[in-house]
Amino acid sequence: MKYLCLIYVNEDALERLPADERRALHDSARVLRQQLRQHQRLHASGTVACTLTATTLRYRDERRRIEPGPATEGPVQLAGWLVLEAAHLDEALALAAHLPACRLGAVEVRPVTTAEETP
Amino acid sequence: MKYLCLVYCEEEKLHGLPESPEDAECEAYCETVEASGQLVAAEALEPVNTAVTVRLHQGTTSVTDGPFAETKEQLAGFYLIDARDLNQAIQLAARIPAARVGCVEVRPVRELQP
Amino acid sequence: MDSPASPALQRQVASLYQAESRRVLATLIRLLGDFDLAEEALQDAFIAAMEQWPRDGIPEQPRAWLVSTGRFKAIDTLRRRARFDASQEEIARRLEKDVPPPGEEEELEDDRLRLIFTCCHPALPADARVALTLREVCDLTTEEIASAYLVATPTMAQRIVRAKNKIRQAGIPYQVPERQELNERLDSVLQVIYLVFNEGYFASSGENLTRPDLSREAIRLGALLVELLPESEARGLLALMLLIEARRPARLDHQGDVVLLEDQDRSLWDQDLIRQGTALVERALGEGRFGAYTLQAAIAAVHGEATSADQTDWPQIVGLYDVLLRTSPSPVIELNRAVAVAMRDGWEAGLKLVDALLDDGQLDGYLPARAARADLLRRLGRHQDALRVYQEALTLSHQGAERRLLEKRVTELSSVIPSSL
Repeated sequence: MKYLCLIYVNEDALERLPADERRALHDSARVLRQQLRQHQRLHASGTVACTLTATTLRYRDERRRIEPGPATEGPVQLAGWLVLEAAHLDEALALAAHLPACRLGAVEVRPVTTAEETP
Repeated sequence: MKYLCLVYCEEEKLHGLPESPEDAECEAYCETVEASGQLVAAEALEPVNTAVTVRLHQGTTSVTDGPFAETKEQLAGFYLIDARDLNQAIQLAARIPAARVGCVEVRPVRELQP
Repeated sequence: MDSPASPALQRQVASLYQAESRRVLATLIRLLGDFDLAEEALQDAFIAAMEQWPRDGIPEQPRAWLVSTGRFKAIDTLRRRARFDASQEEIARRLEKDVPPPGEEEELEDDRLRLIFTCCHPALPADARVALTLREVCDLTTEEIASAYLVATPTMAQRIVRAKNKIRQAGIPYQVPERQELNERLDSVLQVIYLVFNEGYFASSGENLTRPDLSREAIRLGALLVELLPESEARGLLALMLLIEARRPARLDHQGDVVLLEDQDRSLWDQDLIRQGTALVERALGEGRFGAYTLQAAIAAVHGEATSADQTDWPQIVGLYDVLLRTSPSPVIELNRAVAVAMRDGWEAGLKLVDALLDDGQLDGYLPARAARADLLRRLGRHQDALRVYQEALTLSHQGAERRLLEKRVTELSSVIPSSL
């Protein structure tokens, strides 16, 4: 099954980390992705720029509105994602637990829809 | 540039409203963007009740039921698109059928070393 | 060094800077694709002009000279940076290779419009749009903008830096939006201009009630927009600002307190601005594609032609508010309509509408709604009720002059109400 891991990070906390710690964090994430890829467990992954760069589109009263900022509030925000291949949820969770973001925020794991229903 | 378009929506609204998108419409949208060579990836998510959140606190992993963010609108899926600039990304995102019943957050992707 | 620039030449360059710097900057941003690099290049180009023009004379096309010099200076800057950051060399080489064709006048005017649309992009936070527009389009310094908005200079500087970062990182393009998006994006530009104007006319905080400099910048911006993009609503907004600005001389009394529209000495109104504003409204209305700004300007024009509050064509004003409510429904506009109805049909009729609006709850924290209710009660002779509502209104006010007006009413009423009550 395919599982999506949504990586949530406290942007302020990440910003405050000393540069070498931040680099170490990114390095360990990179190593993890390489390992997952070698074991054919990684379908896709990506990282998004910080929420200062986010823009949100909403429809209100039939009119489209472009608003600055992310769709959800708070300092903990989406920073990246992985699509994993795992036999079942427990395996997906075990893989996700290695992500360094678990320490700095949280990783949400959700199965990817198998039916043909893309929102 | 690559942009991640995050589709947020209240789950009841995603399927329950007269203007809620039909699967066929979503597929057609995907095909159009794919045909123009601008679709990198797209995934739809199972409802939030399938979500589990993992945290690591002082060396112990904690697994909790439910999504990370307790918000009214929940992530329903995402599209990773390739657009010339933010204006084009907004144009593409505005045509995502589910945007009518929710909202779409558009964020540039940060390129990483492999 | 050659002969230093004579004072006359220095003056000439200074006035050229005033007239051309924003145009040159707008074009440099397009050519260089980077706000900061373009600003630096602009400064370098003017320094070069001060050095070379005394020797060689002012070039035939100073603007083209400044753009081309700025571009070469930017390439030099990138080369210097390449010693520390190799990626800069590639950008420098690309810039060197793409020699821009001598710009057509039309394209250069478009650059100014591109700059406006980029600074007012709705993906930027509203306060950043305002700051960036004042900095880049109006050439106010960061210190000036910070003091106009009563924030610390470093805060304002950070706001501007963040906005520029977002433009770069999020890929906000340097372009005039396509036709199908123009209306939506124009709304954002008009909103920025009107925000600047309002901050200048009705300062939201601080002891001084008005900051005329900001209003003047907003009017200049509005006029520039009409010149570059002659859309009806752009005309409507310019008209609205001119018609409101016309009343400035009568707006405050000698103590610096607010004088309400109906009590203003209309002989102080600037008739020239009223004429210009009215002509713009008539033109915008005639074009048939107008919106909320044009309608508000039309209302201001009706006030502008009246010699007193009594002589005002209230039925026409109520009619214009009706149209305005259909196109852009809002409780604030309903409140203004209610006050116009009071003037047309009597205080009781107006009070009924204001009460209904306040019961609705949408205007709860909105001071003008309380003040209007208190005013209508006072006119109806219900002094005790009026006094209570003025006091409620006072709890909502943070602005010195505005507070003094409310306090004056409270004092007046307290003196007519027997103290035994």
